Amino acid sequence: MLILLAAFSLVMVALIVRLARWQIAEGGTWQVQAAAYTDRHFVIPTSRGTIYDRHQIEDPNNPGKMISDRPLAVDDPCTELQIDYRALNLEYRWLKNVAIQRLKKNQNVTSRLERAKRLPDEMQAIADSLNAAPSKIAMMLGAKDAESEILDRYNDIRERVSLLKLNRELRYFNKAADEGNPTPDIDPDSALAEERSFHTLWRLDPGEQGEQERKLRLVFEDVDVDKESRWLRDFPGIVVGNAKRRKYPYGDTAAHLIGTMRPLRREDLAGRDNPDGVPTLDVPDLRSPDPRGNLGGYLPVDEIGASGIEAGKESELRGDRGVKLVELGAQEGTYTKIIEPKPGEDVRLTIDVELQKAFAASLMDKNKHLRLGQDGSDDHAIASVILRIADGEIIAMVSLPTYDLSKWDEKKSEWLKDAENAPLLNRAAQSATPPGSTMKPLIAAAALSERLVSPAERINCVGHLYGVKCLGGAWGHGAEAMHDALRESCNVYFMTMGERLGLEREAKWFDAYGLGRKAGIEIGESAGSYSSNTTRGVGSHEAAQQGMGQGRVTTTPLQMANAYATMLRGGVWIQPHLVIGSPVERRQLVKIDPAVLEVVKDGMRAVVTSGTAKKGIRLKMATAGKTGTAESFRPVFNEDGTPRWKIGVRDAIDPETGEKIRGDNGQIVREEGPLVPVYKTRNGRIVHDARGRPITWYVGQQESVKGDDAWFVGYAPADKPEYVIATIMEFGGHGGQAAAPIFEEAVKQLQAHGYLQPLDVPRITPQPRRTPNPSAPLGTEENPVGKIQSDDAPAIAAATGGASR
Amino acid sequence: LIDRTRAIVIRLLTTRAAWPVLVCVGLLCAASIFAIRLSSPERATRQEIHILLGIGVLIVALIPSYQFIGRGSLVFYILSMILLAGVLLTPGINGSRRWYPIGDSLFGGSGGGGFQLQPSELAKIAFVLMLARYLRYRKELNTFSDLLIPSVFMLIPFVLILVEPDHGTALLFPAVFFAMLIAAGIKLRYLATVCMIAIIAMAAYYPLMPAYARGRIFALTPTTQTSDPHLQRAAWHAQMSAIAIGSGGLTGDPDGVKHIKQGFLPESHTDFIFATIGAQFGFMGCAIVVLLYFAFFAAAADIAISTKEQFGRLLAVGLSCMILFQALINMCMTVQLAPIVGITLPFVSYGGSSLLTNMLAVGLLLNVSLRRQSKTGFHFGD
Repeated sequence: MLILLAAFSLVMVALIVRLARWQIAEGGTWQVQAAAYTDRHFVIPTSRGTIYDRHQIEDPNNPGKMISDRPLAVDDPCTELQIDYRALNLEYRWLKNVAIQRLKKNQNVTSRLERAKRLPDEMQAIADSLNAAPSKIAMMLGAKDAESEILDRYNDIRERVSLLKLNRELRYFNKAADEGNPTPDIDPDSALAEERSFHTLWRLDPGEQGEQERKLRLVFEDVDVDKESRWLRDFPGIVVGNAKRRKYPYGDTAAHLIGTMRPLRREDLAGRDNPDGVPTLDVPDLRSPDPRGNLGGYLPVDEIGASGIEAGKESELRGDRGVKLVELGAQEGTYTKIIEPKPGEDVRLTIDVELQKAFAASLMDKNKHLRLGQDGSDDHAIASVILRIADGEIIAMVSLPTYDLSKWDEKKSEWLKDAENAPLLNRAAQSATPPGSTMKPLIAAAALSERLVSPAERINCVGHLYGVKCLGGAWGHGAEAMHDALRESCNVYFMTMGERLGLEREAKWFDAYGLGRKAGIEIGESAGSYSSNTTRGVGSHEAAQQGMGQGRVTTTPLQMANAYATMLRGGVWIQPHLVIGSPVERRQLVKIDPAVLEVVKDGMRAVVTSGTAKKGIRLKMATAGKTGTAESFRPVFNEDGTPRWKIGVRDAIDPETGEKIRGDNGQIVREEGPLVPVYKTRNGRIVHDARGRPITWYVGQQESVKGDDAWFVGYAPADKPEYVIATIMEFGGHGGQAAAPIFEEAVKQLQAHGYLQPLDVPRITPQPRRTPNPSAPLGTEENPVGKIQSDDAPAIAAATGGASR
Repeated sequence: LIDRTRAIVIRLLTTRAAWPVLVCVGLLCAASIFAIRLSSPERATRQEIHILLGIGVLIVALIPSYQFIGRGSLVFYILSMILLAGVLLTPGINGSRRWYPIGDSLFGGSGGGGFQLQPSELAKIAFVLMLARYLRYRKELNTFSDLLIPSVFMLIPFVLILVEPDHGTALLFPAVFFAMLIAAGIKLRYLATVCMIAIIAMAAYYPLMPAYARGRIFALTPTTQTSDPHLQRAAWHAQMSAIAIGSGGLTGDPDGVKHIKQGFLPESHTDFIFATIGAQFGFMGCAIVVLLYFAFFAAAADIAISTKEQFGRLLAVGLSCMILFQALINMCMTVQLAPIVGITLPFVSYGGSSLLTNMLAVGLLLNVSLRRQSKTGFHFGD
């Protein structure tokens, strides 16, 4: 008996020792492990900030405080069908659980043995009904292709979740590697929250809600139904839930500015390859006393701004998620600890959406013929920018053709593919083309300020220079001074000015005007370009060409508007912007004398009153501006919308057959036989034909066509400029005829929306040619500025290459 | 009969040797109620009914003299062996045939459970009675032939339970067998030989064991990175049990309690109830439970030592060893000192047939203590 007692005592001592080690020595670590099983972090969604326009009203609830009242893009609650990830994957444990619940509650089977017997059949029945769910949903929605779309969605969800899982594993591995721990302490089979949560299966359109929604809620589970009875439905795991969707009350108005959203791509996330990427969501551990993380980070399932302000102000709009620590099995709505979500900040744009809407509507109004080009077609691409001179705020920015944000989901693929019309391209900021004659006032101000010409100096136009024709009839404009050269848009005069400036000074002035680099607005834009003295491969008359806005100088309408504004401010460049309150850069690289400005403004005023835009603008208000008719090239497209390739034929002999091949419009035509489409690599070399045979002996080039872009850049009112309006009509022909009416419409809109006083001033009669007197003192009315001293003349002649006078 | 019962109860309450046993069992039953209430208050209520019934069984077991009961040993043994054989004909639950399903709601409980008779529980008592009865006059166990018949008594239930399969319960039989042989005065030489034979038999049996059972043996090691689902399951059991116990700390911890309430610990109210106690009451609770068993055994040993009559002595040794073995194996498996097997913690685990059997055993033990031939005269019922 004592032997037994001793043996048992030994075992008991071992037991006590083990208990003491686990419970007293290691107690804390086990508690953390226990909590990891019972407490789950749940991420709380946040809402994206709203984009408003500039308009504000007084808050009716809070007098004295102004609030925005015209949302352009807003997170809107909507209804959607959601599926439990476990139901989607028909997970065994989940199915078993549901089957037991249903046997208990639906069929009242209380005996465990009986339940065990009927379990397999019940599980099979649930699996069958879930497998039939996609077709059932498609039937209820009345959409034929919904079934395949839902099945695609299933795959998307699976892919996303496995991506998340992989991501987590990688994170753990990286963390472990950083800590010098070879094996990360992670159970690869432990479930993600996403594997236990609902995923969007089908979003109900606003039109489908109501009756459709009620029907769906009857068949599928309703989130409002209590948890117990959810199991009892025919399709456990599929619920009708609430979600948020981006809504665009103004549809296609300012679509380019608001921009679109897209799902995050893996390569967007910051990592070793992409240090500038967005951060990954890092959920803080609320169990620790000092929770640290990044709730503003992204999950691979997130949406991110793709273009416009949605992309430009992504970090402000986005907001931070919240997180709560929930004890498993706790009552719904309760939590142990919480970090509330931080909604995204609202963004207020400088544009006036009602003005923009009315402006775009009248541009699209077929009766007004504002898109009518000289070629007679009435659907030219148009871009127009209205910029406030005082502070660089953009009041409106229109680009046509455009797209409708509220129909983005259905039609985005069509729009994305449409390379010919390029509706997604914001032509006002993203399309840089030669500005043509609208460059001339800028060159005039530069040349006058650099004292390379006096306002009175006449330059003889014989109708052409360096092979460039002037529009002044067969014999040219004759001898003209600055005022008339601007009024009649004399190419010879401004080529001469360009030549006098030379590439170096031109570059300095272009830079001062803000050309050749991005203007700095919050949305995507093109930098444009120009040649400077350091540019390689410049042609012999590049400076002269750039003087009349051709050659290699390209600008966007936004850049031109801001260049004019810079000039009118006397050389102060202010960063144009779309968001109220964003930091604005100011810079002054050149100084333009007010007297110089007066000369240029006089010339531009004359353009409207008696010059090239005389017919295009019939406003009572005194306005001024400059027309432009710029030669540019645009790619040509086949009828199916694909770009057309021009094939440079060299040694067009098929090596196999020895027959001669002729290239035409993207297709190689054999002398006899069918057409063979060819495919081209980036460097212009065709690598294979449709049959995959390498044919390296062709050089292709996208075919383009030459045409005249109609430009008009002007400002109003003429005497005290407040707004600059820059307009381009692609291939519209003559600026005065095609683009000036758009300027006129913009001014009318500014007046209609209270930005300009509608003045009832009679139209000013054309002024006679003024001939300044060079001998009068500098700065007087006869000789405003830029008198050339006689001893400087040879130097100037040398600098400008001895251009004719 | 009522007078006799009243006299028995008074006698029980006035016997010094009975008190420690009663106190230990009472405290263990109380711990059982607390621990079961944690995961299911409904079950706790039913366990209270089980305990009341158990007290009834205990008192009933005190009424006839243990020697009178001993006379029915053989009948009792044969009956229980028939029951054991019969259970192999039932369809079985989860692949093992251990229970007779007797009605679903025998105790008025609602939903789940029901009452199931586990014949192996009865067989334990029958085996101890039979062996004690057989060994009572054998003063010497000198030859192997002396050991042959008791071995057969042991092997019949052992094999029958092994094929159910229920390895944990089956293992109790040889353990109790050795303990009673020692108490009966076997020579250590023979004991060692029998031990050797047992070890060789177990080694030979190992390859024949089902995968899950083998998995449980290896789940002892903490490195459980394996793709075998059986091993994973065993490792999961062991891990969850360790977390529950470890998180209890010195005096219990809410995290561990939550962990159990959420059902992460499988069998938290039956086989792994010791882990539940660990989470709920911490080291203090566990240590008290261990010491209660030790005290129980010490009290039983006291009864056995002071009992001169051989049958009563062997009966006391057999019954107390059976309970203690079971408790130790259960507690050791919970803290990863032994493989995970399907046996309950006596008096604490939830379950009617287990508790009633153990109460019966305590009843018999007390029966011995009340009627033993001690030096101080009066012997009740003699």
